[in-house]
Amino acid sequence: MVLVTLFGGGWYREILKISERLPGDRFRFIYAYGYLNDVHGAATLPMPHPGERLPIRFLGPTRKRWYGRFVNGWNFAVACVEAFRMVRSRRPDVILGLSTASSAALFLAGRFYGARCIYVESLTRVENLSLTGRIVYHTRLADLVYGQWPQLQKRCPRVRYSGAVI
Amino acid sequence: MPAGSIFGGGDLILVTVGTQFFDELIAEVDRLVATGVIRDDVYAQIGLCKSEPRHMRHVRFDRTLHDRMCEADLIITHAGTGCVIEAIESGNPFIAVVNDSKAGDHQREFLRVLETTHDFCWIESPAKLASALPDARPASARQENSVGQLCDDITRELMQSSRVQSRGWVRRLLGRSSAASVG
Repeated sequence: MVLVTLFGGGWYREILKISERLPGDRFRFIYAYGYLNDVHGAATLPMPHPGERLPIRFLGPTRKRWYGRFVNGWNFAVACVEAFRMVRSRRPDVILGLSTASSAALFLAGRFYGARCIYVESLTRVENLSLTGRIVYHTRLADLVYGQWPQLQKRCPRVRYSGAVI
Repeated sequence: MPAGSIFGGGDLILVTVGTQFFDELIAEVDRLVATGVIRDDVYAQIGLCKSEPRHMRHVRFDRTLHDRMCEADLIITHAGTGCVIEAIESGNPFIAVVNDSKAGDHQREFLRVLETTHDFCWIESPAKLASALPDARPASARQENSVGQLCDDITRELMQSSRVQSRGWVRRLLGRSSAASVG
């Protein structure tokens, strides 16, 4: 069973591009979709393979405000609780996360329950990993980190480059 | 897209900021419409922008944005991956505009490197939009798409991961049964 993160905007376009080419007959999919303030728009985003959809708190990006860090800290704590519940009840073999901060919470739970964690960095990150990317890379929360540009390997040699979604 | 049709009116211009906010871009397009530099029909998807434009049709979010992109004669988009991918795939002329308010400098970095693989028009700030309008063109790829390679690699890893996981369970079960027999 593969747990895939499903968020709106660019994250959706990228994970859709990847999912379209994954063999749906070989894996069972479940999706952790992002929600915030009771807005569950990502729950209905069409995906090529059917699968159960479970909510996880969305973290940023937000406008710069002095209390932004506190909001993100609280959201991350909520996301961690939801991630642990989700991973404990569904026990996925693999967690495939694409560049969203909620991936870090899911990977934390995944590590605890023995799932393999694969992280794909966003297409926009060319020379540096995103904050989430740096966290999962340096703490080794992710078993495997994919970058979509070869330049990323200069600073982060463990990043694997095999191509990009475009 | 000939420049004359953009300035002459009658075409559809789509402006999008995706799921983000980019007040400067919306304000600049609104100003160009108000001053008559753009005389075409403008439809703006303004996402989380604070201010609303006064001189063009607009919505916060639009589920049919992809279809609208395919219908538009010109797309003006922020440089987020989702919108840029959709603009490229629509085959229509577009201009990508860097949103400096986003984390770090990653949109500029992204467009610079994307320029090595695709030919398209992009600008560093909304202030340069008026002068860039005649340069809008559909994107053309300079090299072959590598998404297949990436997905094949991920599929291989997923299959390997599933096998590793099942072997782990077998070992755990064997470990339990041997411990039970010893006990």
